[in-house]
Amino acid sequence: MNRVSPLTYLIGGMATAGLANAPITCTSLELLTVNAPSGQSCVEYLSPYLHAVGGRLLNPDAVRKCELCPLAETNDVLAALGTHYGQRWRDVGFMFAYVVFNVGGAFVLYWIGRGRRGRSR
Amino acid sequence: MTDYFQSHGARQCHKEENPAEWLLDVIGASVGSDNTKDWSETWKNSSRKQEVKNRLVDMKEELSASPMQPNGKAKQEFAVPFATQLWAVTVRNMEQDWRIPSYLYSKILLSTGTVSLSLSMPLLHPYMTLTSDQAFFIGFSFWMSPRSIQGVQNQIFAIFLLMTIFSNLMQLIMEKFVRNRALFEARERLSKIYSWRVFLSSAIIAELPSQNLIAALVFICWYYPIGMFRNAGADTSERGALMFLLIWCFCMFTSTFSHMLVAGIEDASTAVNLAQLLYMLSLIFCG
Repeated sequence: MNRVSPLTYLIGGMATAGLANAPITCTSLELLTVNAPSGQSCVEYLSPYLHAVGGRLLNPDAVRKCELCPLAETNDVLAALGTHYGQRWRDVGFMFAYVVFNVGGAFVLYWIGRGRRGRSR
Repeated sequence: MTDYFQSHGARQCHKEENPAEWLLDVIGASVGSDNTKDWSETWKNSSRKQEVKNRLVDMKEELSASPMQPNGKAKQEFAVPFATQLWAVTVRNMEQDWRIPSYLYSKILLSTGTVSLSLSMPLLHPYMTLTSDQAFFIGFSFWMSPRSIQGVQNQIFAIFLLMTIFSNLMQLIMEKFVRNRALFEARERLSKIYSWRVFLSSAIIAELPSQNLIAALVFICWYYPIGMFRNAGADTSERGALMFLLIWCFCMFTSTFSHMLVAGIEDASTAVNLAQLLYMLSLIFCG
């Protein structure tokens, strides 16, 4: 159903057009604060996590109170929605296809519903 | 025609008066008018009747003298070709839109809405249905969303909100279409002035100018206040143009979708319910 709905492509297209390729700056409420175990700096401790999940570390050299922004780029958000910046023109194409289909459907439905009245008389 | 009646003693037809209504009034056929003149006697004795009779005699002689030419033209269903029909009906449809400005105002103000516009124009048509100023409100509710996590979510939510407003637009389009279709089927279809394909095409085409205007206004009222243009980085104009194209596609889609659903269905309320249902399904399942 996701693939059939025209709004999938419309919203996907608008989301990528509006939001892609931009870095995210967390506000202070959104930062995660983690304490690295003694002896390790934040970047050593958290880099496997960052590689696996994504995100950005704001103070890589600190030892305590590592501040972590869970999402680093808007592209991550878009990937969670299932869209991708490279797909945007494809989405436009889909929308045109839907519009053409609607016009054709209008003619077909009109003909089925009311077009035959003229002929049967 | 007005000269004939006026020369035989009828009252003057004023400049803004509809001649058809004036005629009914003059001959005493409309409610509240009285007639003292016997128009049929006047006609029998008038010089114009004699002219018409002479012309009929001439036509009879000359046309029966030339042989009948059986050609394909006489067997066509409609008197004029498709393109002529389409042009005439589309122009008439657009004139109709222009002359009933409440329809255009409600569409535009429904989808974009500027609070200053509605406050400063007391001359608006009394039947205008102003429901809400939606894209404007969405745009300014999310004023310059920052690029934090919450801000990005706000922007995505703004996109969703934009989708929801256009279901009301569909209702307007459908009602107008049903009215026009009722007229078409009662009068013009039976007299075969133009075909139903022309009717449907011109209905779709006549919606396009107002939809274009709505797309432009929605883009301005919505994209820039939210601040999406700041996300674009180097290719701002491409992204802005792409967003406008998508909004335009959405307006086209709304118009054609509502025409498709109302084309085969008898009355407007069924079609509206069906449209709401399909639209909500599309919205819910859109990933």
